[in-house]
Amino acid sequence: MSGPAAVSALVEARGVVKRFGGLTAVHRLDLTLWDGEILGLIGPNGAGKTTLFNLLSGQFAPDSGEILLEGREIQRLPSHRICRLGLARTFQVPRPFLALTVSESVLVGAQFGGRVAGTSASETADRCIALTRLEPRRSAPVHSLNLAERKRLDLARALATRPRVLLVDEVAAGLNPTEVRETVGILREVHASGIGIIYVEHVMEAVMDISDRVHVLDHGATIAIGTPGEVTRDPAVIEAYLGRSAGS
Amino acid sequence: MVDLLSVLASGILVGTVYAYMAYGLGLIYGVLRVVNLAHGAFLTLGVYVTWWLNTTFGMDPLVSILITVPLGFALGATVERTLVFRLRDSPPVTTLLLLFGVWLIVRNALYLIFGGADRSLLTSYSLESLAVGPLTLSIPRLIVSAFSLLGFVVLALMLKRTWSGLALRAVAQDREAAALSGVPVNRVWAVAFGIGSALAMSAGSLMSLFYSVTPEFGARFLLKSFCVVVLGGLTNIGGILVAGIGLGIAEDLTAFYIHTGYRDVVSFLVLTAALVMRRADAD
Amino acid sequence: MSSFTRRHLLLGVGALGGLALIAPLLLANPYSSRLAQLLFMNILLASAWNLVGGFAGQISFGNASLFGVGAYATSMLWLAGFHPFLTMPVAALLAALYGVAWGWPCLRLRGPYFAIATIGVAEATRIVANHIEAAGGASGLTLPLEQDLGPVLLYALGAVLAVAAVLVSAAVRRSRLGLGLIALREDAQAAAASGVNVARQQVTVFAVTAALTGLAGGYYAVFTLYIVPEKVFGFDLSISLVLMVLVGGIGTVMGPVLGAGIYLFLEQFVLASLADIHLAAFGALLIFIILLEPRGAAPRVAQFVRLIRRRFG
Repeated sequence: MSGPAAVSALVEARGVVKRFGGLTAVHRLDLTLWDGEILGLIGPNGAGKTTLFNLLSGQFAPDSGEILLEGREIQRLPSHRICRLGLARTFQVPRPFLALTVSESVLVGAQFGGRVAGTSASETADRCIALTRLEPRRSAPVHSLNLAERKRLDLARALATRPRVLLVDEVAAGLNPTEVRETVGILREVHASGIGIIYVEHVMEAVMDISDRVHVLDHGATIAIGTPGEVTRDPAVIEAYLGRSAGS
Repeated sequence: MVDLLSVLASGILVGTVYAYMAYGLGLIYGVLRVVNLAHGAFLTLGVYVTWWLNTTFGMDPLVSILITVPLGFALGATVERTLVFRLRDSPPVTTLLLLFGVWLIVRNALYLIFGGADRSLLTSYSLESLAVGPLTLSIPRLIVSAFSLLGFVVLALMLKRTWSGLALRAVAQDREAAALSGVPVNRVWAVAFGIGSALAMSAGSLMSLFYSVTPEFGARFLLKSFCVVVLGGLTNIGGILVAGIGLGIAEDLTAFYIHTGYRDVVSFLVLTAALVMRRADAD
Repeated sequence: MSSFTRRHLLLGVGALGGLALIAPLLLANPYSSRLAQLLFMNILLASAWNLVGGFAGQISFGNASLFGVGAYATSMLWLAGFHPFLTMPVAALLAALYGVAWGWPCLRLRGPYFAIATIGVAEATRIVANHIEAAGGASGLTLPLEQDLGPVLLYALGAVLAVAAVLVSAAVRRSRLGLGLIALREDAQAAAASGVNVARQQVTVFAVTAALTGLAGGYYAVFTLYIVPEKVFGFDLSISLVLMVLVGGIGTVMGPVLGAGIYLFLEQFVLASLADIHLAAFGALLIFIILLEPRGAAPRVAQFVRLIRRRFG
């Protein structure tokens, strides 16, 4: 867990444990997102990536351990409080508000999570819609959007909450190569605006391309942390992936 | 002391019936994730069919179970096939409203056929009782309680030991996985709704022995069924039995020590409290 | 919001003006005045129910408990010597307090669980109300007939309450609160992850629902002059609200108004001749709407209005 001493941690998980019945989904996990960084989070299916996102964003409370957002403990806070403190997320399967239009959905993020009102709320929403290339669809009802658009809408809604940290859950899965490139481009822009990103992804190309560091999970525990180059050469990582695919 | 003992004893006897009455609701919820507001309709139908068989043919209510069980199964499976099935992908509240519509129609039909008057059913053993030490226990309640327990055992064995039981449990656990493993999910749903309704109607047969027969019968006991099911853990047989007995005792204690008029308030308050406390499951 | 105030206040004033114009028609005889009163009450009740049932998607079968509190508050204060108009705000406030008291815990539940919990609360309330001797017990309360406000005043009061309820509903729909409610109705977890305080939004809107429902109860007491627990706390009242809104169009501003009218028409003119099967008729209607027209009459009417406009406008 080494990082440049001058840089502070945006998100820090310490010894986080989450059990479901007899199954331990996350086991004594430590994780750090440094300011200004894109952290890739990878691991085989069932490694605990989505559970970890649910813990960080307050959907579940951990059984033990602490989660800090810019030094402040958040592990007991409800999701809407965590969102307002500056941690936003997207969902693996997009979760749109089907009865609203694109701009109304993004406005939910701006007005509630971003705590901005009136015209500045619509300005925030418009900026996020533009950033996610949804302008042509801004008045469209959400139920008319296709998968790629819904993924970008999730992203726009999260960005409208004006986060310091963005958790991105498989935003490239199920998209074609052009759409993946476009999405990665959007994430780079988000990052350039000063938002730290934790990025869960199965599309290796995307995550390796964009991440500063990669954190590898298996069975709810860390098996490797390093630059994209380092982890792809790590025997434990190769074992976790190959061992699994050879078995299945 | 004797007062307390007899209150407890009667609470336990009533409670086993409550558990039996509620189980169909829990089974249907477990398998279909549907809140069966028509449960009250089946309870009431059971009571009326039993009463009618008794007054017309002199059939003993316990014998009429042989009729209410298959009848309930057929009616329940029909409701599932014709109505509930169409809403399988709608939000649960729409199914709840739909089944509420079914209940209104049944209630109205009963008013039309039998009128609104309270009726009751008398058998040769209706007024018999048995002295056990200082306690006097009513014979029909003992019989009904025994039948309810028997029903529970049969059901538990069926779910554990038979293929249909296995299929029911599989669909309850994970509908998609069950479908992928070759379980005929559509048929299992109809069967589950049928069994749930058969349980409700036969509970009506049993309960006709000591409750008055009115079209409002189901309204009163539907909410008690909810209470038992929510308290007992929806599909957990043992939990439902314990919850039924718990509710029976709580009601009798309230009626005896506070006010008879407040007997029914207990179940409503317990229901709401139990729901709110089980929030995690409910989401 | 600013776009709301101007246009909607004008519409509201227009609606009141229209209602004043047709008043002589409706006040022609006691029966038509009673119909107008019932219509106003239904609009108030259905719009109130729709705030939480339509916008937040929380189906309540327990609004009778709030209606009853309002009806009793007004009646008891009136009997204690207060002018009925003065009792209305108290009716609203007490109903809101009672609504928040049980809505707070129950609104943590969603969907069918909330619906069942509301039945529990409302039935418990009804039974307890039957046993409160100070409030007349099961035989209820009779109000001073000689102090009847008269048809004109009752018409005016009803019209103002009904129009106000629709305006409140339109205001909520267009506000931040309304946006949050629709978001949480569509996906409560995703709404929370976007910063919506799901619990607070729901309790806030439920307080408004409860206050309006309490007002309706007060109004009912004032125009019927006789209340009994079985009626004002009754389950049938709660169900009728659900039906009105479903018939008219759930989750829209004008749907409840439409539904209130259709319901009154059915109840008075169709079912009066079919008293024997009115429960079944409502059941069949419910099944019909859910299977065939889940969005109610409102979209059809809107379609019709658009057609007329295109043809003549």
